[in-house]
Amino acid sequence: MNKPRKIAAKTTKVLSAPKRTDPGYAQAPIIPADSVVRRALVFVIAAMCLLACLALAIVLTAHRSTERWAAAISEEITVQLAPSDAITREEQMTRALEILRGTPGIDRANPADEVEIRELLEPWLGSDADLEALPVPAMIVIDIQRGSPPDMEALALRLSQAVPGAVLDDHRFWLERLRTGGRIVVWIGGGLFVLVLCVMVACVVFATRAAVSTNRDIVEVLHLVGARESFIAGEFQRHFLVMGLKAGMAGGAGAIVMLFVTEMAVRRWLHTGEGANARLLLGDLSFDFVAFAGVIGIVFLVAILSAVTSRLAVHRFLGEGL
Amino acid sequence: MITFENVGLRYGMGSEVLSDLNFQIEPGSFHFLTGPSGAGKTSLLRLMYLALRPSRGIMNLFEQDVSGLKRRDLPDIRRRIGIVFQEFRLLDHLTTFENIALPFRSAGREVEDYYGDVVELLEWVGLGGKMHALPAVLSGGEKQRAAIARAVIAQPELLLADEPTGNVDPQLARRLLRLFMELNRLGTSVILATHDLTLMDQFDAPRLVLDQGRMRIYE
Repeated sequence: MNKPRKIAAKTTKVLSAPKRTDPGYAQAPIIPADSVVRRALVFVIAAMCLLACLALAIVLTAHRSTERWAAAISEEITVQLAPSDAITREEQMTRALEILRGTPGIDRANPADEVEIRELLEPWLGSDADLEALPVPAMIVIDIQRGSPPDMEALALRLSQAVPGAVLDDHRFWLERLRTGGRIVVWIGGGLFVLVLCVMVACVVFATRAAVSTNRDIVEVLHLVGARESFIAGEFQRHFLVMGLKAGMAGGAGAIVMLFVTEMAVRRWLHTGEGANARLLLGDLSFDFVAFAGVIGIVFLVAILSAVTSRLAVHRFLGEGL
Repeated sequence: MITFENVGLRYGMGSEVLSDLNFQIEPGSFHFLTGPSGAGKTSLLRLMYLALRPSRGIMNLFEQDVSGLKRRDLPDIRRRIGIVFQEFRLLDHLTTFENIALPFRSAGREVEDYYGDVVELLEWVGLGGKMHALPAVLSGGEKQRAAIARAVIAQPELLLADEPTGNVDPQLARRLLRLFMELNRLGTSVILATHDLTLMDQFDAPRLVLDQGRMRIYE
């Protein structure tokens, strides 16, 4: 059984090893790309990639804000000194500062000046409010040591006993609520991210099955010449990997442009008076290296998911008895 | 090489299209498979290239009981079989070279390994000048020769041809028959399905005659 050699003996032509420049060396894909990759599918996957990137941006922003609020809980507290009939404002301030500065775990305790208080009240009272005419409490801003904070309950008790009208506000109640809200947003964003990827996988599964059906004749011929299912699946996988990469890059690029434009617009808005409250909540919104690395990661994730999904779908389809 | 013992085939819950087939194909043999249209020739060939499994009976292929074969075993068996169809089944977007090289390419071999063999075979079947032509520009005879070349390029032990001369003129049919005879002379077992009596009269070979799913053998 050495036919080709015998057949070769019938020809007088001497063949040398082919060169890469020889016609026929570079071969066309066995599964034609046009029959696999449809524009609609590329568009859908690009859109899914864009949505996944935006979901990631939401997750990162919410996570960063949550972390910042958590840091605020552990770093800064205030003491409010409400007007009291039993003691003057100055004496209130002196006693409170004495207690605070003598408490272990407190780095610094300083009275908030009128400018700071006016800034705090400005969103509610406006910039022209006459604070002298209002019973506005005095305020002490306290920086605490993050590693060894003071015992808040004991400190609150001491202040309330020694300084009439003094109330320790460690913001814990509100900030815990904000943190919980932040966590919920992170979970929703994460859920959206997973959902978008699941939809994309489903799209690729349908597209792969359609592609195998469309190319049924080619798949049958491949079977007949002894191709393994892994080879056939690999032929489809290659198309979907390239398509996933292209669609992912389109979606990722779109997401980067959208994030950049959003960042610019939001930054402008945050620095206006109207955006001041949002700025307190969100901080300076910025999409840093982590966000862009995440977008790039999603692009590759989309490409790999497309390829792996198509491979598994082809195996499953062939296993159903083509 | 091939043994059928009381083999029957039915599609779904229908009646048997092949019944009580008992025959053997020896290595290096040449057989015509004939019978009227609808007699079951194509079904029998599909059994032989493992596109179907028998509904009953024992079928051995290359000394293996096909009922025990798993899906992952099929490619190795099919690589020992070459198949030629009446309708050629060339891939329209691939050149003649690429179509003929398909068995090698699908086996994961590099083009450097098989380039020479494919070019030699192209010359041998008279398609040296059509190496880079797409099937759309080949004549019926050229397509059939390309299909035969694809079937034999990987040196199969068994060549199954299903009405390979059905779409060509009598003169070309005789040339193709000589090609099959030459391949058989070089050691390949050939089963050629045809209902062309004139063609069969040109070569003295056993005839497997199917009629209503049953077989008679004329040595």
